[in-house]
Amino acid sequence: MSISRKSSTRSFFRKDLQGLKLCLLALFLLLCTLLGLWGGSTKLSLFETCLSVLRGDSSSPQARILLYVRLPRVSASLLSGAALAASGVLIQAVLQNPMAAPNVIGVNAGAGFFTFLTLALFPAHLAFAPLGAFAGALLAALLVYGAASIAGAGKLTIILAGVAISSMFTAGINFIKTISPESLYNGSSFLIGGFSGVSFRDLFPAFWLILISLLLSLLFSSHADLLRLGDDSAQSLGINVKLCRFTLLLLACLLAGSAVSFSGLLGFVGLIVPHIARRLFGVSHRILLPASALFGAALVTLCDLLSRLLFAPYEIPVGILLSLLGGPFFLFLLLKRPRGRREGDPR
Amino acid sequence: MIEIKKLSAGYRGVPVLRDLTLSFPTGKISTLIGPNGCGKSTLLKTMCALLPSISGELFFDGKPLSAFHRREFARLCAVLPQSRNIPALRAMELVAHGRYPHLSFSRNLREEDWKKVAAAMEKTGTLPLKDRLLSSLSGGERQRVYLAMTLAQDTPVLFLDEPTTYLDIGQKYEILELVKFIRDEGKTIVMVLHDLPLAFSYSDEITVLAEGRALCQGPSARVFEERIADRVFGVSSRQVTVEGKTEYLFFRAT
Repeated sequence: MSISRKSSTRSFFRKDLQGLKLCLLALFLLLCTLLGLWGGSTKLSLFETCLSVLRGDSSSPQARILLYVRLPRVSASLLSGAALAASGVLIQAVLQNPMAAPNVIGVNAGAGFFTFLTLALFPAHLAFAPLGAFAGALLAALLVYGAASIAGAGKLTIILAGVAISSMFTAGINFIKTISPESLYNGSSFLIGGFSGVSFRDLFPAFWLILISLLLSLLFSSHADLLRLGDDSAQSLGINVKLCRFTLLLLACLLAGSAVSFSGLLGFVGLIVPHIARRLFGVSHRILLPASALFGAALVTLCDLLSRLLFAPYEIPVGILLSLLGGPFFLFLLLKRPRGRREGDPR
Repeated sequence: MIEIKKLSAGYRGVPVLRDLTLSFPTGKISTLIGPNGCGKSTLLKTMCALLPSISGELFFDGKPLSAFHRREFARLCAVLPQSRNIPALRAMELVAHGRYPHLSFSRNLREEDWKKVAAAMEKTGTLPLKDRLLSSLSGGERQRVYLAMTLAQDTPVLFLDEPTTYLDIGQKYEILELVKFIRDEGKTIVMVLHDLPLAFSYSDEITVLAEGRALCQGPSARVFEERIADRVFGVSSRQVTVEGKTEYLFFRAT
């Protein structure tokens, strides 16, 4: 059948193009990473510093900055960007709602509240923070999900429930901050989201959680595709819709919770990156998930670099910059969208 | 052959259907009719495992529904549900979703999967639309694309829930002619239809439901002659022959 042959080569061609775009994005990410390692109040000569570290000499101030300041910081921005963006994609797929994102539906605030709580209750056990964050993220997500399914899961209901739950948890955070200000060494930057003072010790448990959740969510990408068709169609194609939703939501919470545990309430990434990635890569989750993760990582790393460079030697929390840059850009995307098309249409 | 034995079904444990025993023959078009709220959609949903039954059992060629694995069942029955999303996909991408139950773990479509997708689109006349976004299609075109997806699923049994809603009269005939064509290929079709004249002219078997019970089941000509639909809907009916074809008329009872 000639027609089918033509169409299949076409789809392969499209896939190749997607692969190429993904490679370009990965290169861009690499560039952002190198820039992130280089830039700051002290500019490092990366090549020489790396050489000296590799030779086993990490005593020079340059090497110490690279190893103990820049490397943890860039790792943190990469991890949290990737995790929050992927979490946004998953939450939008689970709720079938383009307005949803970990910060919108209160997942970030829930995670933040429980991070605060664990830090205030067990100040000696930093490793509990990601677990607390995950529990908080899950609690918030389940509350939104439960409220929406009781009240009928209209798209607006989910968002409104999310706003309510988000403000409850934010109030909780502020409460803890007020009665126990010493429990957090940088409470205010936690609320905005930032990476100053982050160390490998903070990253370690979150790193594994994020890596595993990202890989698992890739495994479930075709399930996420089927959810688009509506519950009945998805189920009649042989998937367990409820279980699938729950699993994806769990992964989204693991990702967002882990990220929040060390980066603070970094909001906007989870909302805008999936939209941008959908414009560039289409709606298939197998591509959309890795693309969003890469793009989110690159964006946060770049913004973190700018936050260090713009007013050097002072730095502003990256969350401020992300919102300042992301807000107008997101508005621009909304306005530029051709009329009569639906959310998430590829070009 | 699909058999239903002493089935009760409904929502959240409250039965809409009570104690139903019915059977649907292989290779025929069987249609469920009845007034709104009689439980025809509930029955269809229960038959295609979208809704768990409260009691009783369903058998597909003698095998009980509970013995099927999800994916195995999805290779036996395809469903065109009443409410359908309009995802941001191109027509061919949507139809390709129908191959999901047949894919291996990697979930990649192979050459023969694409062939089945193209064949299903050819059959439904949607191949020229394959690169169009679903949102840019008319209601009738979209309906045919969704039907193509259920055909790409390549199952011996098809369940259609109100396949003609929101369509104009020409599109309704188009869809039902397509259903007939699919039946002639040997598939078993069970559907819900609102439109009585269309139901009687296109079905081999008719089941009349009212208030959660089946009033009768049989060949459409016999069900028509027994005037059961007339009683249930409170209407009168005539059978007329137009250009050698039997047509059914329903009008207000006087």
